[in-house]
Amino acid sequence: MNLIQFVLLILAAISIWRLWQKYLGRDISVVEFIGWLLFWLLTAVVVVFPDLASYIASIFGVGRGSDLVLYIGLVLAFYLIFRIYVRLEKYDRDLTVVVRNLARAKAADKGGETEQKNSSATKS
Amino acid sequence: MKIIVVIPAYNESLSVAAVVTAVRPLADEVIVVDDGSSDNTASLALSAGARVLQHLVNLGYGAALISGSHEALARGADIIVHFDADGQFEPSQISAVTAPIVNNQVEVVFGSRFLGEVVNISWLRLITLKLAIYFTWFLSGIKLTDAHNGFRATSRAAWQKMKLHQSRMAFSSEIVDEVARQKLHYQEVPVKVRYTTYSRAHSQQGSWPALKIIKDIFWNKFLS
Repeated sequence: MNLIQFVLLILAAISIWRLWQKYLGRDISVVEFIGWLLFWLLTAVVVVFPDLASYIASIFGVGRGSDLVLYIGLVLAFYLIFRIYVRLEKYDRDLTVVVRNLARAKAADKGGETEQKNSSATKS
Repeated sequence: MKIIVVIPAYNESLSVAAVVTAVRPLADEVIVVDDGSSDNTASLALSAGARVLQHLVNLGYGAALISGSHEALARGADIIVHFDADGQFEPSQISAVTAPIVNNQVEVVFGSRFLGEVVNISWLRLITLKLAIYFTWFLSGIKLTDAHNGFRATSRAAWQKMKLHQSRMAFSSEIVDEVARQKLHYQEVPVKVRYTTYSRAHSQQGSWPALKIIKDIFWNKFLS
């Protein structure tokens, strides 16, 4: 076994261990757990049997197994970045609504007294 | 008709009090939205007689205007006027900007510095503003003479119809887009914009912010 295979296997093992802990702590859902577990198991299998990747690559018409792994990894990474971007935009909008409603609930006049009222949810 | 002026302000302690003092006699109410300033913009606006809303964190120009306009609606505004805190507009022109709505001619009025007067503008800003006119025309189908002017007025009904989300400077393009989409009647009114060393230092300059605006608009329009 090459050193790189050894390192990657340990990395996969650590990832699965952390995944399992997160699942136990209910930080991630069952679907997320299974999805990521399959991902790391597949990674481990490909690390141990690199020829398998080459075989699958040849089916897809990609020259080398490592190229196929790289392509898949890149597509997955882009997809995840997109998901994170969409999530960030959503948080941005949620934060805006929270800050806006707080500002309106505490709006003040020169009279000095801060007016406490139930501000209705804003439209935006 | 109840006219409420909404002024977004971010670290404008040097000018906000003077602007509020000048605007107050010309409107029924002045609402300053302190957009997470780190200076005493809010307390100065309050002492000058404005109603003050404070964003706990900085959200941007559009978000501040939307907050202030919602508040204006809740306080019974018939006409909402948007104005800047840095002193680049003439308070005396508020009546000219609101007149077409008061007279029931239109629902939305855009101030135009290129129909009116512009003093001491930088060439980079001039080019960016001219390009913005064509950009807004391309997006909304409305060709204004000044597409990014912060001096505008909307009727109560018009504001309720428009769906505005842009938190940052893209708000100025989005509102034109919404006017087109909701088929609102609008008019441009000449206004004077006077750039001072202070206002130039305090507003976003050049073309980089313009690129951010374009990104914000496309994201909002086509992706989310």
